[in-house]
Amino acid sequence: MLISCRWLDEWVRTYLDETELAHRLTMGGLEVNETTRINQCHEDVVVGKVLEIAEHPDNPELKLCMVACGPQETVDVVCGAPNVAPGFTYPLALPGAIIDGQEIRAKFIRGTRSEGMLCSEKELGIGEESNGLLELSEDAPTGATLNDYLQLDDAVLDIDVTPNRADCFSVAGIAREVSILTGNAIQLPEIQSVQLANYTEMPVRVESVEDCPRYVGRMIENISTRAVTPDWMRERLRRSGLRCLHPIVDVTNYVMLELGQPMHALDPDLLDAPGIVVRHAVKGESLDLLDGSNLKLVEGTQVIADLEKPIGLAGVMGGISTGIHANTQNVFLEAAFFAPKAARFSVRSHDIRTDASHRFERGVDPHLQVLAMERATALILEIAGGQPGPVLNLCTSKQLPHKQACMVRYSRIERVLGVGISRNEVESILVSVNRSVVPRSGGWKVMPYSYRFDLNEEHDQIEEIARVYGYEKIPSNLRIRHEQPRNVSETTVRSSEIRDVLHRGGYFEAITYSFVDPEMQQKINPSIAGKQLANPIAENLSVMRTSLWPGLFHVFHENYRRRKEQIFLYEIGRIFLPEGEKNMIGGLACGMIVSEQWAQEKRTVDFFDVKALLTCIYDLTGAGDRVEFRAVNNEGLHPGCSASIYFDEQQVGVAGQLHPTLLQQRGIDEPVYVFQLEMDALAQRQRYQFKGVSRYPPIVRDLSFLLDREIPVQSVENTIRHSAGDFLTNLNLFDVYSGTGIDFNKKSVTYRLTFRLNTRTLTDQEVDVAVEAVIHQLKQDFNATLRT
Amino acid sequence: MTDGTAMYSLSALDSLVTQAGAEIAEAEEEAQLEAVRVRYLGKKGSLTRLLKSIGNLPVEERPQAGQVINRAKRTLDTRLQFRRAELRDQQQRKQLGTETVDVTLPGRSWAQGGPHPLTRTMVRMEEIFSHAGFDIAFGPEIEDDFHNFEALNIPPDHPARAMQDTFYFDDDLLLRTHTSPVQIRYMKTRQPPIRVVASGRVYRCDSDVTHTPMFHQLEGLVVDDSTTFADLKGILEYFVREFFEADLDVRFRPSYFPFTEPSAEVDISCVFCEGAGCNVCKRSGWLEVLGCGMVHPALYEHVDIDSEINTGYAFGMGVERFTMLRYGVNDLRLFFENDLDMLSQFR
Repeated sequence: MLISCRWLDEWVRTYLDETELAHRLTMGGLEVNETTRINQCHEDVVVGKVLEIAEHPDNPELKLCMVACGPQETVDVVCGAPNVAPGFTYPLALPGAIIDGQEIRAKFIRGTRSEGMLCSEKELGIGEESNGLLELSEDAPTGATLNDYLQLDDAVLDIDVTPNRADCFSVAGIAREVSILTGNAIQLPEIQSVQLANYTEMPVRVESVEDCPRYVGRMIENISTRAVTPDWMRERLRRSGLRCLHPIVDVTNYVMLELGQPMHALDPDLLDAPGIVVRHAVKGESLDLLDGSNLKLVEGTQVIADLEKPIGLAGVMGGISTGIHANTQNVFLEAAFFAPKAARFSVRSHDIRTDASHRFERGVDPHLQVLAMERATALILEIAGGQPGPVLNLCTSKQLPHKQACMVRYSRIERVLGVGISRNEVESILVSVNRSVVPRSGGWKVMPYSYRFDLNEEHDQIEEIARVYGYEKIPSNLRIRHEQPRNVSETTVRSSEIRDVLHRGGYFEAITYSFVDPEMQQKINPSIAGKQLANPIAENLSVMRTSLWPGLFHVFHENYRRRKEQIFLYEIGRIFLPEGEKNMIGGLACGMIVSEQWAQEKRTVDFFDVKALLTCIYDLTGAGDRVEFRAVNNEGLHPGCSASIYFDEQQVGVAGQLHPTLLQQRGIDEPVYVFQLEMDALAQRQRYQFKGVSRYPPIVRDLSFLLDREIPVQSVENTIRHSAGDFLTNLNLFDVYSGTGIDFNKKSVTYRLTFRLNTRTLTDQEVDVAVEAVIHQLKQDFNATLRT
Repeated sequence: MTDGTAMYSLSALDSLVTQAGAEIAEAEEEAQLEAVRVRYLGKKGSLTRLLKSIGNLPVEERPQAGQVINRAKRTLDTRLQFRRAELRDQQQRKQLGTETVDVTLPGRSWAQGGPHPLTRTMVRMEEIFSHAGFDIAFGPEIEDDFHNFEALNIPPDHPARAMQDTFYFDDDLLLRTHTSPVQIRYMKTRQPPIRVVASGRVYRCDSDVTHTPMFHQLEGLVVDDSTTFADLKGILEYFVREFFEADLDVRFRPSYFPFTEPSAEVDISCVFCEGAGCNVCKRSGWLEVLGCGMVHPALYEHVDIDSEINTGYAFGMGVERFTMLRYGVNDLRLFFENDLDMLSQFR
């Protein structure tokens, strides 16, 4: 909310400059976002009244003006503005004034002397745009500097009003706060009931009393159609960010800014079926609004209607059919208390927000309407004349919000705030923010003002005490304590350990959105339907991920397009499956695992680099030997390079090469490897168990076998381990060969078997027996033959 | 004297020793030196034969002659050894000279990765709070209306619930808009004393220069029978100074959140200009970094904690905001682009 310091100063005089005022408000909970000085004019710009006009002899577009610039003085000015007219008052820049960076001088224009310049708002830097000269009010004092006349020595505060402080959406509200925070007294402007001119009334019926507990209306007849909004009001509206529209509308806006009561004015002569009904919209009704939009009304929305149809969206915006216009002669004014709930419903249902709805949604003082009506009437009479009728005040008292008194315990204050504030100080704060404060044993009974929607219970009052006392005066007390001793279990694998393995393997962590492109996900993971967002921000971010791969693939693709040659990515995060959220670790690898360098051959990543990394990760559990990779044709993966990872017969992960068709569509011809593991399977570590160290020499045997190509080496290894007996301490596959020299359907595998005991030296004979058993079993299981 | 050299005489010995000494000194390789040794001290060497020839001397001269010759042998032996060591040393120096590597060549390299900067920040935040005695908790990202709003004192028609802020799946399920529901879940299962932080992903239906539809928060909650606003000030001042490793000015400003009262926003003196005023702090010298307050009593009603006996505080902060300030990242959206040129600056 924008507020002029000069305007505020009329309500509460603080003698603080705007910077200090902004600081006080900010520290009191009304955050001032920005403090802007109003542009001033040069001091040689004065109010000038054009007395006479003559045409320039040489140029019919120029006019010779005699302009009064003081009680007795006049100057001659040549002016080309189309709207210059005798009897009107304009800003006059006298010689010496700087306008738009140029000094004004007395000079001859086409042979005629000109001693100044009549100006527009834009030329003076006090308006964004202008159509010709700025027309000032008739009664503007000729010769006064424009700075004084328009009070341009001013600053505007841009205040962020928090949603609980609806009472601060007005000059009156901010002034109350300034008064509370600085202790300066508030001076309310005098608002008196106007003299009634007649008894003309508009018939009004409120049907939706729950949503409109108070409706105040008044007719004003025979206003002047030539009225203009006075300069002082126009300036205040401008500084509050509002444009001038029509004197009547400007007055309703002005009263809203001043007191916080949104008002509406309509032209009763435009009512098709005269009479006002406040009711809920029924099915199928529609409304053309003042802003030109057509609204299909949601059933149950509160509207202002004539006897037949809606003519306004209650508390939001009026309809165009009854809007005030240039020739309006009679006015019906409305000031109501619309329930916040009803205003929110209108705003949410129709997605329209206005200054009025903003206030009604958060809560307008339910006792402000009559006062606002009198204020607006007085202003209209002053500006446009007219004959006011009586004030109609339809109130359903039991539907109005009622404030309850509450107890504030002195002891509770220190208990919550951690600072001892004297009873006197607490009491004076309570008095400043409440309508009444009565001391009671152990505390006070307080009754808040009707406009304080946020004050209901004791803790609300404690917040006020803290705020007004000053947060900065509350001490800070550092208590670092451990409620229970924290157990740090060694058998928990911390995610940082897993990350370390990945980082050493060259992988960078990516963080991608949890919602992904449904098309991409469908290709990667067709069998699981991801949860669909009802209101996604974009189609390609509309479905919850069921795999980390779509997000990683997107990041990969972006980096690939930027010609990165090593793209190793991982992400730790949740996937969203029909059965719930699951924490996963996903990875993607493409490009050089060893970059081009002088000391070793460059090399691109392959499946076995990925597998080695995953093995290191599973080794963190201390049970890496219980993890098995099985050839399983998984969705989204190359059928020849796809594995499921099992831990004790339970599937815990997937790894492989991304299906080439996914890549070819995007013009990627390099293989891309991916993996995804369940974090839960990596959470626990077996306790380390020392197995002793042997002082006796090992016996080593190298064995080569010829067997069918299709047999997975995992099975061979399992057989060797089972048949070799307990002496086998290490098994290392150090050669796999197929090709020249052996049968096309066969492969040769060579293992180094290490046998050793902790307690004694093994004999060759013992090892021979074990080796024989291995050879025999491999022959039996796989028809493998020993190569010699 | 038939084979001349074998006949002992002092002068013969003298000239033999002199000659052998010269040959030892002249030897340039170990093999040469060995040949010298054989020539003089070998089984058939000149000196050996000279020693053998003392049998021809009169008996009374023999012991003395033997002593003289043996002394000469030992002298030559010592010189041989000395020269041999010298030659080996020379040889090794020559060898090492050919083995020089250019130590300025780059080391054999392999790829090294690293964590995302947001993870760095979260881990660091958790570490600081962990040291201050906070437990670490997690909660679901797909939440229900009750935990995300209702239980946090955000009733159904509250402006914060408007459709444009929250991602919905249906009337009840949504993506959590803050980490605060973890507070409710944690309090539901435990009684005070409570001291916990929770971090993670949160979602808002908003995307522009300063908003991404997903971001991260860290949330803290303390509830016990003696916690006050002064304690809240204490822990947060401690935290921001620890996090930024600087003696920052910290100020608490009254603000509003539905789930705390009194509520505060916390500003720190600008970490870029130290409060002097710059573009980042919009010349104010202050940076708003987090929101906090005393737990609103309405929250306790949902979780069976007695609000007369217990008081508590809660705070929440944006991980992205802290990361940007800590590392000078100037565009929020960079975090989710995951450009390797960005990520590799944090390994």
